Amino acid sequence: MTDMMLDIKNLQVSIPTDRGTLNAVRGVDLSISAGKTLCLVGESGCGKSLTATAIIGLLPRYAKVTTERFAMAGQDLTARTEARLAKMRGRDVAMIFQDPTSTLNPTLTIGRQLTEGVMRAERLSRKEADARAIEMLDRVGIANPAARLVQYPHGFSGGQRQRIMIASALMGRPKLLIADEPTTALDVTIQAQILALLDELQSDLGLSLLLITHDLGVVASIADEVAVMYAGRIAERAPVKDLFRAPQHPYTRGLLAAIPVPGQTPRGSELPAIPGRVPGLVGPLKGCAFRDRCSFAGEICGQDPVPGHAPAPGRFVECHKAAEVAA
Amino acid sequence: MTRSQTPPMIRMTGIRKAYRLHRKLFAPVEELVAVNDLSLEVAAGETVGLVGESGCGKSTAVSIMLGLLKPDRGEVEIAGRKIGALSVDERVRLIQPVFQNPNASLNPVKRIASLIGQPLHLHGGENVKAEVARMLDLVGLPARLADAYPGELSGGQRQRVAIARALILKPRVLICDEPTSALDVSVQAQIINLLLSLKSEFGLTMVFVSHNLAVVEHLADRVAVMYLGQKVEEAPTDALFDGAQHPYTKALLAATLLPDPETGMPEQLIGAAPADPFATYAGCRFAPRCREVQESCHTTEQTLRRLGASSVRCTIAGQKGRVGAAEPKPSGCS
Ligand SMILES: Nc1ncnc2c1ncn2[C@@H]1O[C@H](COP(=O)(O)OP(=O)(O)OP(=O)(O)O)[C@@H](O)[C@H]1O
Ligand SMILES: Nc1ncnc2c1ncn2[C@@H]1O[C@H](COP(=O)(O)OP(=O)(O)OP(=O)(O)O)[C@@H](O)[C@H]1O
Ligand code: SF4
Ligand SMILES: [Mg+2]
Ligand SMILES: [Mg+2]
Repeated sequence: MTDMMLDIKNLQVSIPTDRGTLNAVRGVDLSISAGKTLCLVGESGCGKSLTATAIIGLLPRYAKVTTERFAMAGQDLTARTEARLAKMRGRDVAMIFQDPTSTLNPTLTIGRQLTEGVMRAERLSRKEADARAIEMLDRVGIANPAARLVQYPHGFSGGQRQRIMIASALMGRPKLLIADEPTTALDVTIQAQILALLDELQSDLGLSLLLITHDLGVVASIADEVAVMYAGRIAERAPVKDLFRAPQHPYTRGLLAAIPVPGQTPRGSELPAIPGRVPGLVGPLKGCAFRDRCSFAGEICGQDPVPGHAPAPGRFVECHKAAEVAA
Repeated sequence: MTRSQTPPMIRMTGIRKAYRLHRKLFAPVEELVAVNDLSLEVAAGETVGLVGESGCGKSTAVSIMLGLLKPDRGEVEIAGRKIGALSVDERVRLIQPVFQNPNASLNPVKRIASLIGQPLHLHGGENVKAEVARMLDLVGLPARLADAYPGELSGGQRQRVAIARALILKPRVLICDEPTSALDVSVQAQIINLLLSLKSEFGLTMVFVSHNLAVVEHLADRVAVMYLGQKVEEAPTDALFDGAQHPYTKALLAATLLPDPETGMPEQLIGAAPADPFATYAGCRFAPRCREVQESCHTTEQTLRRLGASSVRCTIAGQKGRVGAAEPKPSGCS
């Protein structure tokens, strides 16, 4: 499996809290082939950002991370050393964080923040680094990029800051880009521009993409594969067309049903939201985490382990009643 | 005021707001005109959607509507009274905001009941405890969460707390700035359902700012589209989504992504040159990016005019034989 850009088995992340250990990520398998896009979707708080941050090795020290297998950009990181991950960051793998306001330093100019990393890592001169920064800012649609290198973050709107974050992540020409809600703060025309840019980078540079989003329109337009996460586990994974055409996990079905579709959903009608809420993840959990909210649930759903099925090549679904749901 | 002419619940007239800033160290102060000549009326019980490019001035407009920011020019009236003439107490009982990020607005060390009750407490209400219980029920939160802390709630539940807090003073107007964009689609559906029921049961007036056009289409009675500080189109929801008139509105609608992988990448009907809020324009502010631009657009100041059910800031809109913006373009999806 040499063409795997990312290959993770049984990722677990737990965080100590004052009420006990929070088992936020409870055994996640993810893989992305070179040049492909995997979208990660799921309930707010289900562990998407923690998963992404664990991959890039930037979780706070008190978080406990374990994996059974972890390979990225051709390197085996199962016995992950923070030092090796730190070396890969920016060059092999880069991340765009969910909240751009907290990741841009307000006291440094945009130019400094964009160029610092590559000047160190690739020994570029100031001139070369500036030229690349200008190219990247131009690519993400920032007007008059040369003049803006000397500006500080507060001089840009939320959407512009988001685009600067994207430019910054691209500076080291990474092979794997992890993007956490990169277009949520943007209007749809800029969103379309960013998605087209990512698409172009994929064909130009063979970039692999792990994209986290709540927007199923974004998923439909850019994903090759989709992983649906619920309460710290992958509930379903499928090629994008299969997932939208025939979702096989009850949670995925609930998600797809909840979106208002112009021209189909009657205006002002009540939307079919999934009732209930996610179970707490402090302490052990028995059986399927979705069962309190699931219309298919039966007695068996309280049992461990919840079986994983492969209903078709490239598909995976974890559900006691997978056969019944698919029928 | 006589009964026969009830004033609109919100009336903004000729609002202008500029931020003064230094673009570079030691450079002279420059003006960034965030909102320019904005007028908007919202009738009692009506929901108006406010959409537009990020940075076009929506949040600025909303802050002015709420009386949190003073415009340089123009008037804001809420229920027929100038907002400056209202006391803080009167104002917060009339109009309340719900913002995008419930985490930022909820103090993590306070319990849910005290967070929801706080506005009532501050503004001298009685029966705080009973009112909090009523609010929890109204927004669909179980009573046991009264003693919980924000960190124990899901994103959707926290947004419900923010809405409960905004509603406890029984305002007549709710101003929602991106209230669902950080939430997953199922929670988003819960919040939309809640807003719809508040609207039908209590006749709540709403302004709803969002980048999600499907949500706006679902909720709003009327939609106003902004571009670089100006309103460029306003129309009843049906008219806007079925027959957008302004080239920017058309670009916005064309860029909307459907949850259908067969449709591929969206069509881009807008020039890539980004909007520059510092530039000055003799003519149309959208001209540098407009696919239907004509020479006169760069020089003729555009004003809002009626076109069917819509009001449009574009002289080209509605002309016969315009350069077709609707012709299909091969999509760039692999
Ligand atoms: N540093 C932390 N300390 C304690 N708990 C945390 C920390 N970071 C995350 N959590 C908790 O872990 C869970 C997973 O969080 P995460 O940010 O990964 O969710 P998410 O899926 O990205 O959600 P969203 O869609 O809302 O961004 C949540 O319950 C969250 O409250
Ligand atoms: N406090 C401020 N100081 C200087 N400029 C500001 C300030 N607040 C906003 N701006 C600028 O004013 C313009 C309008 O900003 P505003 O936040 O109202 O936009 P918005 O439409 O809400 O955008 P978004 O969709 O990204 O939230 C932007 O160009 C922004 O950079
Ligand atoms: S395992 Fe049971 S409860 Fe869980 S999703 Fe499947 S049917 Fe529903
Ligand atoms: Mg997240
Ligand atoms: Mg805003």
